[in-house]
Amino acid sequence: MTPYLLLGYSSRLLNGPLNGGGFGNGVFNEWGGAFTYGGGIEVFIARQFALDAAYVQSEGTYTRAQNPDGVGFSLNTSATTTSRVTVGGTWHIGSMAAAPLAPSEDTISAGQTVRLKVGGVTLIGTVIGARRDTVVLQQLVHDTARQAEVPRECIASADLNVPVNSRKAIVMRGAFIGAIGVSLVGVLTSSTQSHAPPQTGESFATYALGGAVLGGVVGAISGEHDSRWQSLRLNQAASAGPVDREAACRSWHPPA
Amino acid sequence: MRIVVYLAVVPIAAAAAPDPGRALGPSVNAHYTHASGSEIQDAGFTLSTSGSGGGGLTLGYAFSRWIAISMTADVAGGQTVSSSSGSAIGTQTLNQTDATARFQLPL
Repeated sequence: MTPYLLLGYSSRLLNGPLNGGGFGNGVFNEWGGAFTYGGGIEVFIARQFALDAAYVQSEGTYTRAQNPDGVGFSLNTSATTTSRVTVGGTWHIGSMAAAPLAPSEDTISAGQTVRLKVGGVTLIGTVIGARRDTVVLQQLVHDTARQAEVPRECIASADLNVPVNSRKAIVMRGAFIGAIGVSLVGVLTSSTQSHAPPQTGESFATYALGGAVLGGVVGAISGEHDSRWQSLRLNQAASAGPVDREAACRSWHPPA
Repeated sequence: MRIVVYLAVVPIAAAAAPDPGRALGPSVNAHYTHASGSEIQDAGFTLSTSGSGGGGLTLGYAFSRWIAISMTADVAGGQTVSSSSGSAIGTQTLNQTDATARFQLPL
C-alpha cells in the first residue's frame, strides 16, 4: 500500500438554482481559486490496479457571484473550505519500478546486459554467468566475443540496461505530461478570469485533449531513446578480508 | 454507505497486494466523491453545502516511487445549499479541478 500527501491548487465553481432565502428564483454562480491539500492511501489489488481513498480540503475565496437576473456582483467573502472524500480505482498504465530489495539479495543474472564499474574500468556486456565469487561477462569487441571473469568483491557498482524508451512509451509519456501541464495552465488561467465563470469540466476536457495531442506529437518527434541504467545489487563474496580484497582487486585487469 | 463497504474491502486487498507502490508513469483514476463545506461567507450570512456525492477522473504521472503529479476533475452534484439561518435555498453542483503534487511513501 502507498499512503500519500497532496498539495496543489484548484479552480472551484459552484453553480445551480437558488430558491428562497431572499435570493429569489434564479441561477447563482460562484467561483474562484483555492489552495488544496489532503492525504490518501492506495492499495494495490493487482499489478497495475489499485483501490484509492483520499480526503482533500480546499481553502479559497469565491471572488464573484452572479445573481438571478444574470448581473455579476462582488461578495465580501472570506476564504471558505470545501471537504471531499473520494474513493475509487486507479489504473497504472506505466511501467513498474524495481521492487525494494534487502541488501543481501542478488539481482544479477545470466542474460542481462550490464555495466560494471571495477576500479577505474567500466565494463559493458552480457552476463553469461553469475557465480558465488565471480560474474562472467561477455563483451563484443570488433565482432569478437571475449569473456571477462570479474571478482564480485572488486565490483564497485553494477547497473542493468533497461530498454524503456520505446516510441510508444515516449508518446504515452509525452501525452500525459502534456495533458497535465496544459490542464494546469488551464486551471491557473480560468481561476484568474473575472469576466465569466469557467465551465470547469469543459475546460478540463479541452485542455487535456489539447495537451494529449501536443504531448503525443512532441513525443513522436523526439523519437526513440536507447535505454537507461538501473542499479543492481550484488552479493559480495566473503572469502577475503579487506586487505586481501584490496590487493586482489588492484591486481585484477580486464582481459586485453 | 459506500465508504463503509469500501473500508471493509481494504484488509483483503492489502493481503493480496502483489506489487505495492511500484507504479511509475501515467495513471488514470476514476472515483466517487462526497463533498461538503461552507462555500460563501459574507457579513450577514453563510452558505453551507453538503452533497450526496458525485464523481471524477484523475490523470496522474509518477516520476519516481516518491513523487507524482495529478490533475483531477471532480463534479459533486446534489449539493444542498443552506443559509446560516438553516433554511435550504437551493441545490447546486460543485465543479472542481485540482492540479496537485503527490508525495507518496510506498510500504
